[in-house]
Amino acid sequence: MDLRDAYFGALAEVAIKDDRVVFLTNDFEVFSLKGFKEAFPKRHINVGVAEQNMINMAAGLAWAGKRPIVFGMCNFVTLRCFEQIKLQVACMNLPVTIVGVGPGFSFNFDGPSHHAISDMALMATLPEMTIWNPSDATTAALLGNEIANHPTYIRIDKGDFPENDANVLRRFTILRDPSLRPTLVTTGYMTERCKSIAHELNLGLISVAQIKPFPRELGNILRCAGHPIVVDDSHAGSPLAFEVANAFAGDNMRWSAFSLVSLENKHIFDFGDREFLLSQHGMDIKALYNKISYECP
Amino acid sequence: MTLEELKEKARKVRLDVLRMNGLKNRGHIGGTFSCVELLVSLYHGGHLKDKDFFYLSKGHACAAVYSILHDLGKMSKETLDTYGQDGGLGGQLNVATSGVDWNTGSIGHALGVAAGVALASKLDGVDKKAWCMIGDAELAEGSIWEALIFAGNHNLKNLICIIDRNKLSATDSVQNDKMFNNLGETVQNMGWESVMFNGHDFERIHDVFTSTRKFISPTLLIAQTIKGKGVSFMENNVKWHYGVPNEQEYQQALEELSHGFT
Repeated sequence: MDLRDAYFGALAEVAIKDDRVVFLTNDFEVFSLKGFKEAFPKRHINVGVAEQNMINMAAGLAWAGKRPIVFGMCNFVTLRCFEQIKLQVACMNLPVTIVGVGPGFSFNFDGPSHHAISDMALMATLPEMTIWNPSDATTAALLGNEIANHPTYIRIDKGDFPENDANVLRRFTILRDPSLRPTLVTTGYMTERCKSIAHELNLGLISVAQIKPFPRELGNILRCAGHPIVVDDSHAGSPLAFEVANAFAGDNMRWSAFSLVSLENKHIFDFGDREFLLSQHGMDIKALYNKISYECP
Repeated sequence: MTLEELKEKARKVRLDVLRMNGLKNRGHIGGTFSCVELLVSLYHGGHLKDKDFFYLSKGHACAAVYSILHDLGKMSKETLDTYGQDGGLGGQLNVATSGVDWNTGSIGHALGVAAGVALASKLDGVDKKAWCMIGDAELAEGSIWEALIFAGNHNLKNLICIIDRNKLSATDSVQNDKMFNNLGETVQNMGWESVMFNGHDFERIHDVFTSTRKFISPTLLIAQTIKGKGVSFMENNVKWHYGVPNEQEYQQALEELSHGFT
Protein backbone atom coordinates (compact mmCIF):
# COMPACT_ATOMS: atom_id res chain seq x y z
CA MET A 1 0.00 0.00 0.00
CA ASP A 2 1.14 3.53 -0.77
CA LEU A 3 2.34 5.17 2.44
CA ARG A 4 0.24 8.24 1.67
CA ASP A 5 -2.92 6.12 1.46
CA ALA A 6 -2.02 4.25 4.64
CA TYR A 7 -1.43 7.42 6.63
CA PHE A 8 -4.06 9.79 5.26
CA GLY A 9 -6.67 7.01 4.93
CA ALA A 10 -6.35 6.20 8.63
CA LEU A 11 -6.29 9.88 9.50
CA ALA A 12 -9.46 10.60 7.53
CA GLU A 13 -11.30 7.93 9.52
CA VAL A 14 -10.22 9.61 12.77
CA ALA A 15 -11.12 13.07 11.46
CA ILE A 16 -14.64 11.97 10.56
CA LYS A 17 -15.28 11.19 14.24
CA ASP A 18 -13.17 13.96 15.80
CA ASP A 19 -14.42 17.38 14.73
CA ARG A 20 -11.41 19.07 16.31
CA VAL A 21 -9.38 17.92 13.31
CA VAL A 22 -8.91 20.63 10.66
CA PHE A 23 -6.77 20.01 7.58
CA LEU A 24 -4.79 22.90 6.14
CA THR A 25 -2.80 22.58 2.94
CA ASN A 26 -0.68 24.87 0.78
CA ASP A 27 -2.49 23.86 -2.42
CA PHE A 28 -1.36 20.25 -2.18
CA GLU A 29 -3.62 17.26 -2.67
CA VAL A 30 -3.62 13.68 -1.45
CA PHE A 31 -5.90 11.04 -2.90
CA SER A 32 -7.05 9.59 0.43
CA LEU A 33 -8.45 12.89 1.70
CA LYS A 34 -10.67 13.57 -1.30
CA GLY A 35 -13.67 11.88 0.27
CA PHE A 36 -13.20 13.77 3.53
CA LYS A 37 -12.82 17.04 1.67
CA GLU A 38 -16.14 16.49 -0.11
CA ALA A 39 -17.95 15.44 3.05
CA PHE A 40 -16.42 18.07 5.38
CA PRO A 41 -15.35 21.02 3.22
CA LYS A 42 -15.17 23.39 6.20
CA ARG A 43 -12.51 21.22 7.84
CA HIS A 44 -10.34 20.76 4.75
CA ILE A 45 -8.98 24.17 3.79
CA ASN A 46 -6.65 25.01 0.96
CA VAL A 47 -4.99 28.15 2.34
CA GLY A 48 -3.17 28.74 -0.94
CA VAL A 49 0.57 28.84 -1.43
CA ALA A 50 1.13 30.75 1.79
CA GLU A 51 2.99 28.46 4.16
CA GLN A 52 3.89 31.07 6.77
CA ASN A 53 0.26 31.98 7.23
CA MET A 54 -0.73 28.32 7.16
CA ILE A 55 1.49 27.54 10.14
CA ASN A 56 0.45 30.68 12.03
CA MET A 57 -3.20 29.84 11.53
CA ALA A 58 -2.62 26.25 12.59
CA ALA A 59 -1.14 27.59 15.83
CA GLY A 60 -4.18 29.84 16.36
CA LEU A 61 -6.55 26.95 15.65
CA ALA A 62 -4.68 24.71 18.08
CA TRP A 63 -4.76 27.40 20.77
CA ALA A 64 -8.54 27.56 20.30
CA GLY A 65 -8.90 23.81 20.86
CA LYS A 66 -8.61 22.40 17.35
CA ARG A 67 -6.21 19.71 16.18
CA PRO A 68 -4.86 21.12 12.92
CA ILE A 69 -3.10 18.83 10.45
CA VAL A 70 -0.93 20.82 8.05
CA PHE A 71 0.23 19.02 4.92
CA GLY A 72 2.27 19.74 1.82
CA MET A 73 5.66 18.84 0.34
CA CYS A 74 8.35 18.32 3.00
CA ASN A 75 10.46 21.37 2.24
CA PHE A 76 7.65 23.86 1.85
CA VAL A 77 5.95 22.97 5.14
CA THR A 78 9.24 23.15 7.08
CA LEU A 79 11.94 25.31 5.48
CA ARG A 80 9.65 27.97 4.04
CA CYS A 81 7.96 28.64 7.37
CA PHE A 82 10.60 27.67 9.89
CA GLU A 83 10.31 30.69 12.17
CA GLN A 84 6.54 30.26 12.33
CA ILE A 85 7.02 26.63 13.37
CA LYS A 86 9.67 27.53 15.91
CA LEU A 87 7.88 30.42 17.60
CA GLN A 88 4.19 29.73 17.17
CA VAL A 89 4.07 25.92 17.27
CA ALA A 90 7.15 24.72 19.17
CA CYS A 91 7.69 27.56 21.67
CA MET A 92 3.93 27.65 22.32
CA ASN A 93 3.97 23.82 22.56
CA LEU A 94 0.73 23.48 20.61
CA PRO A 95 -0.84 20.31 19.16
CA VAL A 96 -0.09 21.02 15.51
CA THR A 97 0.82 18.10 13.26
CA ILE A 98 2.89 18.99 10.21
CA VAL A 99 2.91 16.32 7.52
CA GLY A 100 5.64 16.53 4.92
CA VAL A 101 4.97 14.45 1.83
CA GLY A 102 7.93 13.31 -0.26
CA PRO A 103 11.09 12.90 1.83
CA GLY A 104 14.55 12.52 0.33
CA PHE A 105 14.66 12.47 -3.44
CA SER A 106 11.02 11.49 -3.94
CA PHE A 107 10.46 14.69 -5.89
CA ASN A 108 13.46 13.79 -7.99
CA PHE A 109 12.85 16.00 -10.99
CA ASP A 110 12.83 19.43 -9.35
CA GLY A 111 16.21 20.08 -7.79
CA PRO A 112 17.22 21.43 -4.36
CA SER A 113 13.91 23.24 -3.81
CA HIS A 114 12.18 19.84 -3.64
CA HIS A 115 14.92 17.53 -2.33
CA ALA A 116 13.95 16.96 1.30
CA ILE A 117 17.38 16.16 2.68
CA SER A 118 17.64 18.79 5.42
CA ASP A 119 14.04 19.12 6.66
CA MET A 120 14.47 16.57 9.45
CA ALA A 121 17.67 18.23 10.63
CA LEU A 122 15.92 21.58 10.79
CA MET A 123 12.93 20.19 12.69
CA ALA A 124 15.31 18.39 15.05
CA THR A 125 16.59 21.75 16.28
CA LEU A 126 13.21 22.35 17.92
CA PRO A 127 13.18 20.87 21.44
CA GLU A 128 9.40 20.38 21.52
CA MET A 129 9.13 18.69 18.13
CA THR A 130 8.45 14.98 17.75
CA ILE A 131 9.69 13.63 14.42
CA TRP A 132 8.44 10.51 12.63
CA ASN A 133 9.85 8.99 9.46
CA PRO A 134 8.03 5.68 8.86
CA SER A 135 9.33 3.13 6.40
CA ASP A 136 6.25 1.00 5.86
CA ALA A 137 2.48 1.30 5.51
CA THR A 138 1.73 -0.43 8.81
CA THR A 139 3.65 2.19 10.78
CA ALA A 140 2.22 5.01 8.68
CA ALA A 141 -1.33 3.79 9.31
CA LEU A 142 -0.66 3.52 13.05
CA LEU A 143 0.51 7.13 13.02
CA GLY A 144 -2.65 8.17 11.19
CA ASN A 145 -4.78 6.53 13.86
CA GLU A 146 -3.60 8.96 16.50
CA ILE A 147 -3.83 12.74 16.71
CA ALA A 148 -0.78 14.06 18.53
CA ASN A 149 -1.18 16.40 21.49
CA HIS A 150 2.11 18.18 20.91
CA PRO A 151 4.14 19.62 18.02
CA THR A 152 4.78 16.81 15.56
CA TYR A 153 6.46 16.46 12.19
CA ILE A 154 5.63 13.37 10.15
CA ARG A 155 7.32 12.53 6.84
CA ILE A 156 5.28 10.43 4.46
CA ASP A 157 7.00 8.95 1.42
CA LYS A 158 5.39 8.44 -1.95
CA GLY A 159 4.71 4.98 -3.36
CA ASP A 160 4.45 1.37 -2.25
CA PHE A 161 6.93 0.14 0.31
CA PRO A 162 7.42 -3.48 1.40
CA GLU A 163 6.21 -4.20 4.92
CA ASN A 164 8.93 -4.71 7.49
CA ASP A 165 8.55 -8.44 8.20
CA ALA A 166 9.12 -8.20 11.92
CA ASN A 167 7.18 -7.27 15.00
CA VAL A 168 6.06 -3.69 14.57
CA LEU A 169 7.03 -1.71 17.64
CA ARG A 170 5.88 1.51 16.00
CA ARG A 171 8.77 3.68 17.17
CA PHE A 172 11.42 1.36 15.74
CA THR A 173 11.61 -2.08 14.20
CA ILE A 174 14.33 -4.64 14.76
CA LEU A 175 14.69 -6.33 11.40
CA ARG A 176 17.85 -8.30 12.18
CA ASP A 177 19.37 -9.17 15.52
CA PRO A 178 21.50 -6.22 16.73
CA SER A 179 23.91 -8.58 18.48
CA LEU A 180 25.21 -9.23 14.98
CA ARG A 181 27.87 -6.56 14.89
CA PRO A 182 27.92 -4.03 13.42
CA THR A 183 24.26 -2.98 13.28
CA LEU A 184 22.79 -0.83 10.55
CA VAL A 185 20.54 1.88 11.98
CA THR A 186 18.41 3.44 9.30
CA THR A 187 15.08 5.11 8.61
CA GLY A 188 12.42 5.63 5.96
CA TYR A 189 13.31 4.99 2.33
CA MET A 190 16.76 3.62 3.19
CA THR A 191 15.29 0.73 5.21
CA GLU A 192 14.50 -1.45 2.20
CA ARG A 193 17.91 -0.75 0.68
CA CYS A 194 19.62 -1.88 3.85
CA LYS A 195 17.75 -5.18 4.11
CA SER A 196 19.67 -7.03 1.39
CA ILE A 197 23.00 -5.55 2.51
CA ALA A 198 22.44 -6.57 6.13
CA HIS A 199 21.50 -10.05 4.96
CA GLU A 200 24.52 -10.42 2.74
CA LEU A 201 27.03 -9.06 5.23
CA ASN A 202 25.28 -10.69 8.21
CA LEU A 203 24.71 -7.44 10.08
CA GLY A 204 22.07 -6.30 12.54
CA LEU A 205 19.39 -3.97 11.17
CA ILE A 206 17.07 -1.55 12.94
CA SER A 207 14.67 0.82 11.20
CA VAL A 208 13.82 3.87 13.29
CA ALA A 209 10.43 5.53 12.74
CA GLN A 210 10.47 7.93 15.69
CA ILE A 211 13.61 9.97 15.21
CA LYS A 212 12.92 12.36 18.07
CA PRO A 213 12.54 11.97 20.97
CA PHE A 214 14.81 9.01 20.36
CA PRO A 215 13.30 5.85 21.88
CA ARG A 216 15.05 5.26 25.18
CA GLU A 217 14.85 1.48 24.92
CA LEU A 218 16.48 1.65 21.52
CA GLY A 219 19.38 3.49 23.11
CA ASN A 220 19.82 0.55 25.48
CA ILE A 221 19.73 -1.92 22.61
CA LEU A 222 22.28 0.07 20.65
CA ARG A 223 24.62 0.36 23.59
CA CYS A 224 24.61 -3.43 23.85
CA ALA A 225 25.10 -3.78 20.11
CA GLY A 226 28.25 -1.69 20.19
CA HIS A 227 28.97 -0.55 16.65
CA PRO A 228 26.16 1.35 14.94
CA ILE A 229 26.39 2.23 11.25
CA VAL A 230 23.82 4.94 10.60
CA VAL A 231 22.42 5.03 7.06
CA ASP A 232 20.34 8.12 6.26
CA ASP A 233 19.53 9.83 2.96
CA SER A 234 19.74 13.20 4.65
CA HIS A 235 22.81 15.24 3.99
CA ALA A 236 25.49 15.58 6.63
CA GLY A 237 23.19 17.01 9.29
CA SER A 238 21.50 13.68 9.95
CA PRO A 239 19.39 13.91 13.10
CA LEU A 240 19.33 10.11 13.24
CA ALA A 241 23.13 10.07 13.48
CA PHE A 242 23.03 12.72 16.17
CA GLU A 243 20.41 10.85 18.20
CA VAL A 244 22.25 7.53 17.92
CA ALA A 245 25.50 9.18 18.99
CA ASN A 246 23.65 10.94 21.78
CA ALA A 247 22.33 7.60 23.03
CA PHE A 248 25.92 6.67 23.81
CA ALA A 249 26.91 10.01 25.27
CA GLY A 250 26.97 10.07 29.04
CA ASP A 251 27.56 6.34 29.01
CA ASN A 252 31.33 6.61 28.72
CA MET A 253 30.91 6.36 24.96
CA ARG A 254 30.68 2.60 25.16
CA TRP A 255 30.94 1.90 21.47
CA SER A 256 33.69 0.21 19.64
CA ALA A 257 33.07 2.28 16.53
CA PHE A 258 30.54 4.63 15.01
CA SER A 259 29.90 5.10 11.31
CA LEU A 260 27.68 7.35 9.25
CA VAL A 261 26.69 6.75 5.66
CA SER A 262 24.74 9.71 4.33
CA LEU A 263 24.69 12.21 1.52
CA GLU A 264 27.50 14.67 1.21
CA ASN A 265 26.70 18.10 2.60
CA LYS A 266 25.98 19.79 -0.70
CA HIS A 267 23.04 20.81 -2.81
CA ILE A 268 22.26 18.54 -5.72
CA PHE A 269 21.27 19.91 -9.08
CA ASP A 270 21.04 16.61 -11.01
CA PHE A 271 17.70 15.61 -12.45
CA GLY A 272 16.57 12.06 -12.97
CA ASP A 273 15.01 9.01 -11.41
CA ARG A 274 15.27 8.71 -7.61
CA GLU A 275 17.60 5.72 -7.89
CA PHE A 276 19.67 7.61 -10.46
CA LEU A 277 20.12 10.50 -8.03
CA LEU A 278 21.08 8.13 -5.24
CA SER A 279 23.60 6.39 -7.52
CA GLN A 280 25.11 9.73 -8.50
CA HIS A 281 25.68 10.53 -4.86
CA GLY A 282 26.85 7.23 -3.42
CA MET A 283 23.63 6.09 -1.84
CA ASP A 284 22.36 3.39 -4.23
CA ILE A 285 22.57 -0.24 -3.09
CA LYS A 286 25.91 -0.94 -4.79
CA ALA A 287 27.60 2.12 -3.30
CA LEU A 288 26.00 1.49 0.09
CA TYR A 289 27.26 -2.10 0.04
CA ASN A 290 30.82 -0.92 -0.63
CA LYS A 291 30.70 1.81 2.02
CA ILE A 292 29.17 -0.45 4.66
CA SER A 293 31.63 -3.29 3.89
CA TYR A 294 34.44 -0.83 4.38
CA GLU A 295 33.10 0.12 7.81
CA CYS A 296 32.87 -3.50 8.96
CA PRO A 297 35.82 -4.88 10.90
CA MET B 1 -15.11 54.18 32.87
CA THR B 2 -15.33 57.94 32.21
CA LEU B 3 -13.20 59.81 29.75
CA GLU B 4 -11.24 61.45 32.55
CA GLU B 5 -10.65 58.10 34.23
CA LEU B 6 -9.34 56.63 30.99
CA LYS B 7 -7.02 59.60 30.52
CA GLU B 8 -5.73 59.13 34.04
CA LYS B 9 -5.13 55.43 33.34
CA ALA B 10 -3.13 56.36 30.24
CA ARG B 11 -1.06 58.87 32.20
CA LYS B 12 -0.32 56.25 34.83
CA VAL B 13 0.72 53.70 32.21
CA ARG B 14 3.14 56.17 30.62
CA LEU B 15 4.64 57.00 34.01
CA ASP B 16 5.07 53.28 34.78
CA VAL B 17 6.67 52.69 31.39
CA LEU B 18 9.01 55.65 31.86
CA ARG B 19 10.07 54.39 35.29
CA MET B 20 10.60 50.83 34.05
CA ASN B 21 12.51 52.06 31.04
CA GLY B 22 14.51 54.75 32.79
CA LEU B 23 15.38 52.83 35.92
CA LYS B 24 16.28 49.59 34.19
CA ASN B 25 17.92 51.18 31.14
CA ARG B 26 16.07 49.01 28.70
CA GLY B 27 12.85 48.97 26.73
CA HIS B 28 11.10 50.53 23.75
CA ILE B 29 9.56 53.71 25.01
CA GLY B 30 8.55 55.39 21.72
CA GLY B 31 6.45 52.56 20.26
CA THR B 32 4.99 51.90 23.69
CA PHE B 33 3.78 55.47 24.17
CA SER B 34 2.17 55.45 20.72
CA CYS B 35 -0.26 52.66 21.64
CA VAL B 36 -1.10 53.50 25.26
CA GLU B 37 -4.62 54.84 24.60
CA LEU B 38 -5.37 51.85 22.37
CA LEU B 39 -4.27 49.36 25.03
CA VAL B 40 -5.99 51.22 27.87
CA SER B 41 -9.20 51.32 25.87
CA LEU B 42 -8.99 47.60 25.08
CA TYR B 43 -8.36 46.51 28.67
CA HIS B 44 -10.03 49.20 30.77
CA GLY B 45 -12.67 50.28 28.27
CA GLY B 46 -14.27 46.85 28.26
CA HIS B 47 -13.64 46.07 24.61
CA LEU B 48 -11.40 43.06 25.22
CA LYS B 49 -13.75 40.47 26.73
CA ASP B 50 -12.45 37.69 28.94
CA LYS B 51 -13.25 35.10 26.29
CA ASP B 52 -11.51 37.11 23.57
CA PHE B 53 -8.00 36.48 22.27
CA PHE B 54 -5.36 39.21 22.11
CA TYR B 55 -1.93 39.05 20.52
CA LEU B 56 0.20 42.20 20.90
CA SER B 57 2.43 41.69 17.90
CA LYS B 58 4.55 44.70 18.78
CA GLY B 59 5.52 42.89 21.96
CA HIS B 60 8.29 45.39 22.62
CA ALA B 61 5.45 47.56 23.99
CA CYS B 62 5.05 44.96 26.75
CA ALA B 63 5.79 47.41 29.57
CA ALA B 64 2.41 49.05 28.97
CA VAL B 65 0.70 45.66 29.22
CA TYR B 66 2.56 44.85 32.45
CA SER B 67 1.38 48.15 33.91
CA ILE B 68 -2.21 47.49 32.87
CA LEU B 69 -2.20 43.90 34.13
CA HIS B 70 -0.93 45.20 37.48
CA ASP B 71 -3.64 47.85 37.55
CA LEU B 72 -6.26 45.18 36.82
CA GLY B 73 -4.99 43.13 39.74
CA LYS B 74 -3.66 40.37 37.51
CA MET B 75 -0.02 41.07 38.34
CA SER B 76 1.47 41.85 41.75
CA LYS B 77 3.57 44.93 42.41
CA GLU B 78 6.45 42.62 43.30
CA THR B 79 6.25 40.98 39.88
CA LEU B 80 5.92 44.31 38.08
CA ASP B 81 9.05 45.50 39.86
CA THR B 82 11.05 42.58 38.48
CA TYR B 83 11.01 44.21 35.03
CA GLY B 84 14.53 44.25 33.63
CA GLN B 85 15.96 42.18 36.49
CA ASP B 86 17.70 38.85 35.99
CA GLY B 87 14.95 36.23 36.00
CA GLY B 88 12.22 38.89 36.03
CA LEU B 89 9.84 40.31 33.44
CA GLY B 90 11.52 40.69 30.07
CA GLY B 91 11.28 42.83 27.01
CA GLN B 92 8.72 40.64 25.29
CA LEU B 93 5.49 39.08 26.44
CA ASN B 94 5.42 35.46 27.48
CA VAL B 95 2.50 33.16 28.26
CA ALA B 96 4.12 32.37 31.60
CA THR B 97 2.72 35.78 32.62
CA SER B 98 -0.89 35.43 33.69
CA GLY B 99 -3.19 37.38 31.38
CA VAL B 100 -0.91 37.05 28.35
CA ASP B 101 -2.30 34.91 25.51
CA TRP B 102 0.77 34.64 23.31
CA ASN B 103 4.57 34.86 23.29
CA THR B 104 5.95 37.79 21.31
CA GLY B 105 9.28 38.76 19.83
CA SER B 106 9.20 38.35 16.07
CA ILE B 107 6.83 40.49 14.05
CA GLY B 108 4.59 39.53 11.15
CA HIS B 109 3.04 36.50 12.86
CA ALA B 110 0.15 37.90 14.87
CA LEU B 111 -2.39 38.44 12.14
CA GLY B 112 -2.08 34.84 10.93
CA VAL B 113 -2.31 33.41 14.45
CA ALA B 114 -5.33 35.60 15.22
CA ALA B 115 -6.83 34.49 11.90
CA GLY B 116 -6.49 30.88 13.11
CA VAL B 117 -8.30 31.72 16.34
CA ALA B 118 -11.00 33.55 14.37
CA LEU B 119 -11.31 30.57 12.01
CA ALA B 120 -11.90 28.34 15.05
CA SER B 121 -14.62 30.75 16.22
CA LYS B 122 -16.21 30.54 12.79
CA LEU B 123 -16.09 26.72 12.73
CA ASP B 124 -17.61 26.57 16.21
CA GLY B 125 -20.18 29.30 15.53
CA VAL B 126 -19.14 31.32 18.58
CA ASP B 127 -18.72 35.07 19.03
CA LYS B 128 -15.16 35.02 20.32
CA LYS B 129 -13.14 37.90 18.94
CA ALA B 130 -9.50 37.54 17.95
CA TRP B 131 -7.70 40.86 18.33
CA CYS B 132 -4.17 41.71 17.36
CA MET B 133 -2.18 44.92 17.36
CA ILE B 134 0.61 45.34 14.88
CA GLY B 135 3.07 48.11 14.10
CA ASP B 136 2.87 49.97 10.83
CA ALA B 137 6.41 49.06 9.74
CA GLU B 138 5.36 45.45 10.27
CA LEU B 139 3.20 45.61 7.17
CA ALA B 140 6.37 45.05 5.15
CA GLU B 141 6.29 41.40 6.32
CA GLY B 142 4.87 39.17 3.59
CA SER B 143 3.16 36.94 6.13
CA ILE B 144 0.88 39.87 7.06
CA TRP B 145 -0.36 39.97 3.48
CA GLU B 146 -0.82 36.20 3.37
CA ALA B 147 -3.11 36.56 6.37
CA LEU B 148 -4.94 39.59 4.92
CA ILE B 149 -5.69 37.56 1.80
CA PHE B 150 -6.93 34.51 3.69
CA ALA B 151 -9.06 36.36 6.24
CA GLY B 152 -10.73 38.44 3.52
CA ASN B 153 -11.44 35.40 1.35
CA HIS B 154 -12.83 33.44 4.29
CA ASN B 155 -14.79 36.31 5.78
CA LEU B 156 -13.35 35.94 9.30
CA LYS B 157 -15.64 38.47 10.95
CA ASN B 158 -14.27 37.80 14.42
CA LEU B 159 -10.84 39.03 13.42
CA ILE B 160 -9.85 42.58 14.37
CA CYS B 161 -6.43 43.97 13.56
CA ILE B 162 -5.29 47.33 14.94
CA ILE B 163 -2.39 49.06 13.22
CA ASP B 164 -0.41 51.45 15.40
CA ARG B 165 0.35 53.88 12.59
CA ASN B 166 3.09 55.86 14.31
CA LYS B 167 5.01 56.34 11.05
CA LEU B 168 8.42 55.34 12.40
CA SER B 169 10.16 51.97 12.28
CA ALA B 170 13.14 51.01 14.43
CA THR B 171 15.59 53.13 12.48
CA ASP B 172 13.67 55.02 9.84
CA SER B 173 10.49 56.76 8.71
CA VAL B 174 7.66 54.81 7.10
CA GLN B 175 5.59 57.96 6.71
CA ASN B 176 5.75 57.91 2.93
CA ASP B 177 5.68 54.16 2.25
CA LYS B 178 3.33 53.80 -0.67
CA MET B 179 1.51 50.82 0.81
CA PHE B 180 -0.19 53.24 3.19
CA ASN B 181 -1.68 55.20 0.32
CA ASN B 182 -5.32 54.13 0.34
CA LEU B 183 -4.52 51.16 2.60
CA GLY B 184 -8.10 51.13 3.85
CA GLU B 185 -9.44 50.95 0.32
CA THR B 186 -6.89 48.28 -0.57
CA VAL B 187 -8.01 45.96 2.20
CA GLN B 188 -11.68 46.76 1.59
CA ASN B 189 -11.15 45.42 -1.92
CA MET B 190 -9.76 42.27 -0.29
CA GLY B 191 -12.90 41.70 1.77
CA TRP B 192 -12.10 43.68 4.91
CA GLU B 193 -13.80 46.51 6.74
CA SER B 194 -11.43 49.36 7.50
CA VAL B 195 -11.60 52.45 9.68
CA MET B 196 -8.97 55.16 10.14
CA PHE B 197 -9.05 57.23 13.32
CA ASN B 198 -7.01 59.15 15.89
CA GLY B 199 -5.40 56.52 18.10
CA HIS B 200 -4.98 58.91 21.02
CA ASP B 201 -8.63 60.08 21.18
CA PHE B 202 -10.46 57.87 23.70
CA GLU B 203 -13.94 58.81 22.50
CA ARG B 204 -13.09 58.02 18.92
CA ILE B 205 -11.34 54.77 19.90
CA HIS B 206 -14.41 53.73 21.89
CA ASP B 207 -16.72 54.39 18.96
CA VAL B 208 -14.50 52.52 16.53
CA PHE B 209 -13.95 49.52 18.82
CA THR B 210 -17.68 49.35 19.50
CA SER B 211 -18.48 49.46 15.79
CA THR B 212 -16.40 46.33 15.15
CA ARG B 213 -19.08 44.26 16.89
CA LYS B 214 -21.53 44.85 14.08
CA PHE B 215 -19.15 44.25 11.16
CA ILE B 216 -19.63 41.10 9.13
CA SER B 217 -16.08 41.09 7.74
CA PRO B 218 -12.62 41.08 9.30
CA THR B 219 -11.68 44.58 10.41
CA LEU B 220 -8.50 46.57 9.95
CA LEU B 221 -8.35 49.56 12.29
CA ILE B 222 -5.75 52.11 11.25
CA ALA B 223 -4.96 54.14 14.36
CA GLN B 224 -3.09 57.34 13.56
CA THR B 225 -0.63 57.78 16.41
CA ILE B 226 2.52 59.58 17.45
CA LYS B 227 5.62 57.65 18.40
CA GLY B 228 6.78 58.82 21.82
CA LYS B 229 3.38 60.44 22.49
CA GLY B 230 3.24 62.42 25.73
CA VAL B 231 6.84 63.60 26.05
CA SER B 232 7.80 66.58 23.88
CA PHE B 233 11.31 65.56 22.93
CA MET B 234 10.35 61.94 22.33
CA GLU B 235 7.47 62.62 19.94
CA ASN B 236 8.13 61.72 16.31
CA ASN B 237 11.79 61.07 17.04
CA VAL B 238 13.17 57.74 15.86
CA LYS B 239 15.83 57.87 18.56
CA TRP B 240 13.20 56.84 21.08
CA HIS B 241 12.38 53.52 19.45
CA TYR B 242 14.74 51.94 21.95
CA GLY B 243 16.43 54.98 23.40
CA VAL B 244 16.86 55.23 27.16
CA PRO B 245 16.62 58.65 28.85
CA ASN B 246 19.57 60.09 30.73
CA GLU B 247 18.93 61.65 34.15
CA GLN B 248 18.00 65.07 32.79
CA GLU B 249 15.72 63.61 30.10
CA TYR B 250 14.15 61.32 32.65
CA GLN B 251 13.30 64.18 34.97
CA GLN B 252 11.89 66.28 32.14
CA ALA B 253 9.78 63.35 30.90
CA LEU B 254 8.55 62.74 34.43
CA GLU B 255 7.58 66.39 34.75
CA GLU B 256 5.76 66.48 31.43
CA LEU B 257 3.85 63.25 32.06
CA SER B 258 2.91 64.44 35.54
CA HIS B 259 1.76 67.89 34.53
CA GLY B 260 1.50 67.84 30.78
CA PHE B 261 3.45 69.86 28.24
CA THR B 262 2.43 72.50 25.79
